[in-house]
Amino acid sequence: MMLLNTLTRRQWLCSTAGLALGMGVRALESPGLEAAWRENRAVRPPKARSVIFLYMGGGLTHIDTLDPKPERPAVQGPMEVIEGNTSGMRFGACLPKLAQQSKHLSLIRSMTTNQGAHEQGNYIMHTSYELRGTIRHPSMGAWASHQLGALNPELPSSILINAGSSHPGKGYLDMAHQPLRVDKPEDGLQHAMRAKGIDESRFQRRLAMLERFNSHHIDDASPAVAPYRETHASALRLMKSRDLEAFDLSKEPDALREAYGSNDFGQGCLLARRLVERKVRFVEVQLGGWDFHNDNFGRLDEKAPILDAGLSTLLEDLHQRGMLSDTLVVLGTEFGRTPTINNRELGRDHHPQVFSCLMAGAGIKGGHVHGSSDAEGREVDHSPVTPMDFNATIAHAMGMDLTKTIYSPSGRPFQVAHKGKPVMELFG
Amino acid sequence: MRWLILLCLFSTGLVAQSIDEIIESKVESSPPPHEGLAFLRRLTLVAGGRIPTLEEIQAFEKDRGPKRRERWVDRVLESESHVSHQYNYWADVLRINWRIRGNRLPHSGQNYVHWLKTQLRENRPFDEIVRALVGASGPLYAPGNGAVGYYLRDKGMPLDHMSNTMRIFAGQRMECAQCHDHPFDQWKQKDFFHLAAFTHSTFINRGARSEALLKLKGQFKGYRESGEKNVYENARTLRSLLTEGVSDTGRGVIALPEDYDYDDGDPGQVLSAQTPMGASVSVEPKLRGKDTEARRLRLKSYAPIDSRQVFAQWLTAPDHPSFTRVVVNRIWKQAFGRAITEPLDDLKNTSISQHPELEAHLVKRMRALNFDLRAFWREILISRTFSRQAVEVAPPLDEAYDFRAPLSRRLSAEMWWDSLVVLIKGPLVDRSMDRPDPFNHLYADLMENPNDLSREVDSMMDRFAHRHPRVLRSYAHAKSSILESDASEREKKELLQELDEALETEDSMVPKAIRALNLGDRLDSAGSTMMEEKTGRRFFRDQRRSELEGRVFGGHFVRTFGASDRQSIEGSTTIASIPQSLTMLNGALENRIMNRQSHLGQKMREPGSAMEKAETLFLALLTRRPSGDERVTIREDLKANPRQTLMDWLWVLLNSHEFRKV
Repeated sequence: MMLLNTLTRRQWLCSTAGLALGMGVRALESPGLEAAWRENRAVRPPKARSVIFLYMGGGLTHIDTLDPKPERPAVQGPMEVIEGNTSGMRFGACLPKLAQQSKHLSLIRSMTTNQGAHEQGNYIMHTSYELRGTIRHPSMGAWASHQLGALNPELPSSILINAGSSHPGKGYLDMAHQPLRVDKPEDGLQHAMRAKGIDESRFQRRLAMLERFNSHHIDDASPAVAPYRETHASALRLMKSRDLEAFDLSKEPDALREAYGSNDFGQGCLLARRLVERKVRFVEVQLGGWDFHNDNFGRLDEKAPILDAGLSTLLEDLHQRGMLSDTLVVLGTEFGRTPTINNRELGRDHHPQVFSCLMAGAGIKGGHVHGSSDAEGREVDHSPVTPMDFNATIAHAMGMDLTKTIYSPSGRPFQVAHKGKPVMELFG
Repeated sequence: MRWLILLCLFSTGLVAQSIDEIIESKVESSPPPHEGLAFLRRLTLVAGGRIPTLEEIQAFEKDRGPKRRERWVDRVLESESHVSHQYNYWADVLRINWRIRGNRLPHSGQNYVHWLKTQLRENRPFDEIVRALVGASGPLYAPGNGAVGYYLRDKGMPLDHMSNTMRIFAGQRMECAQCHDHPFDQWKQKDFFHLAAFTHSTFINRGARSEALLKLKGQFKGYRESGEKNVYENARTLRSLLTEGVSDTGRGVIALPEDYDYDDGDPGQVLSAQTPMGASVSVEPKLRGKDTEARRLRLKSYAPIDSRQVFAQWLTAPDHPSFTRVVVNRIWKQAFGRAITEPLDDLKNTSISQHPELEAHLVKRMRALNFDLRAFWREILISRTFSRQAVEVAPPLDEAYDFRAPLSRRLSAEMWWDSLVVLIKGPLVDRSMDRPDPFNHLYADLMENPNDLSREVDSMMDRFAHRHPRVLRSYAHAKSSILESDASEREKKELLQELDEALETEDSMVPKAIRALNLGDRLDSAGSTMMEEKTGRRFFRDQRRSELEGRVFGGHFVRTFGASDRQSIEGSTTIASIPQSLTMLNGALENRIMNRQSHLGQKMREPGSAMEKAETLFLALLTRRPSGDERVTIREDLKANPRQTLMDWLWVLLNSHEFRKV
């Protein structure tokens, strides 16, 4: 563990030094580095300084959103199809705003996984490993924090917005890599300021009293004690952070807040932008409830506009601020939904054989489609991408070393993205 | 004669020692047992899900009789706290939601919640509870039929539902076999489908007599097309009320999926129910009507044959290879912090029991006790081993632990929250507001004449159709408050009459008129306990977790501290986080706990010296008195800052390592 900590610190120094020397993304323009990166070796600084990972919990229906099949009406059902603003890219009509952003997007229409249940599918998309009873693997945010360190030591390097309670989080890594959870983006980070009526001197007095009282637990390694020594210290550091205002969405113009959508997901996307602006490495925003076994089309009417507004406004906002060039935006989900519309409930069931995800920004090609499903969206037609490949692509874009082995506390070896191959075709 | 007495002793009192003997025979030295208050604290937290109240501490210390430990174990096990705590545990396992997906009514899961709490309160044998869940059928709103919530939770996903059942009760992970042969386990996809056939053809959303409902279809269509929003909304509410439920008992058939890819079956082939492990049990599907090739391929052609009950019997049979083992491990884990076989819900042939003798003994005991969970808990809690000082750091999961003592743990989110509620509510913490859904009474009204449901619906719609849906809701609540109260029959009749009169007033006034009836006060004077909610209103947000169903969203204390969102089975964690530390540091909990309405706040305002008050704080939060050294520092603090010291100490104890440890 000690070793890992030292490594992290050194890498953190490397990456911040790189920035301090003014080596932005442009550093990659040097031919040597570019070649190294193309050969899929970790170089720093990489193209994606930060990642915003939008996760659609429950299984995003690929046919109704990113991979429509209008030639097969029985599969397509009542969902209309629209053209994107780049030629040949089609979307389900429930995503009109996203279609207007297609110039930024690489769609991956050949995602495939061997996990057809939510918990397992969700787990492998986040960790690249299969769910096991005896170990919890780190999620990508924790990997990024571990391999690359924080770019801004004033804020946690990985932040998790609107996530369910079973997110794998830091996995077996140290407390320091635990993503910070924000459950209600509109409220920001709760209790980050001293309580009303408690001035600094009283707060300090209380802290001193607490330390004195806790002193008989000084060597206590209980899970009820040891980790809290760290979160307590981190919480106190965070209280002093100059970047706390990142969590305050009221600093944004009303019109923009509205454009993102007056819901937890939309506001979460806006918060993600504010955090990435302050150099947080990895922000995940979740939108759950895509498990449309019943009433697929009725429920899409309610759910899709939330995704559409949040994601499209995020892309536009990042683009206008010039942040899209070094921010990787990713849309992921655990699996797709069946091409067959179950006639009992007009729903679609789980479909892991093929589904769709997308990436944008940080050098990802725009107006590009990678891979495809067959005529009915049942199987991968060509260029399959597994969750491991998907995460390897993210890791590679961030400049992580895919070959580096680390060991869990029980001594088992692991690599980020579990030997997945980055999809190099996505990078322009 | 002597051996008979010995036999009796063996089958009763000596059994608990047996846990100790089995464990101690393998351990060289054990940590010393906790006596006194430290034991009371662990017992109340582990079995009651909260810290002890000041009153309990006082009574415990006064109790000098023999067998004090046993007596207090019984006291906690028989308290509402144990019900609440076990409800939290099982609600996490069963992923219980306050609202059933797709249902219009705001707390459509309430009957399910109430049903489960009732089973736990009445200590119904565990195998019976499971049979009631797995075999549940009928309308959700029929009295006492909340168990159908078990199927409604997984509406539209019968395959996942079977995976969940096998995981939580049989300790078998079969999710993978839903789509393909299991890569590491023995399960074939076809095994899974044979098994799923037991429960697959369960029809939901047709709770009440389905034929009568079919006749109502046109009627409801009429309401929908009336073009008036209130009519439409109210009709939908009535429809949810009538239709939510499970309609048959299982037909024991299923069809293989269209993409079935193995040689042992064909896509679309109809399979009959058959068990893949343990005792071999199968059913004989029965066609209704003519036997033709085409009809054999349609699942709907088959008649209900109680296949879910057959499955439930198989699952809970005494010789089932893992049913007892799983539940034994569940309770052991709650008491000791780790199951004997981990993970307890993924028992493979290769699973390693950390203590086979202990596990075998407990399985035997559970069967001998006929799945009386409380009696089983008791045997663990009165053991010497349970009372030993906790081991701070657990050996890694792949190393065996000898269970010489419970493992040190962080309070669960629910324990943490409920312990804060103890400080605020004191002994009132054990008053439960648990009751069935108020809408049950409307359901009963509609079903008064089940043969003429259509007329009942019409007459209900006559009264409510054009009114705001809020009126229907207020009415249901008010009616339920009256009927469930302790008032005399005559008083109830009068109140109901007044309620009906209130309903006749101007539309927008109705909820107001119902409120103006002042049911709360009047029912109170009639000796009601149902209106606890009213007197408890100022503490409303400070209810125990088990009473807060439906009010726990992202951002709530218990979620920040790791409670499950009940999307996945046992989705809770006890991992530390920065938001938890921030909440404790700056959440001003001390103000809520010390204010005039709070129990501890009132205790602290009783006459007494500052040192006595500090002692009260220590007892209330840590279940102990300050040590000599601590008294010295408290005295110094009091001297330096008399006005703020007690408040600051409350804050310190809330933030202390000791408070969150069990």
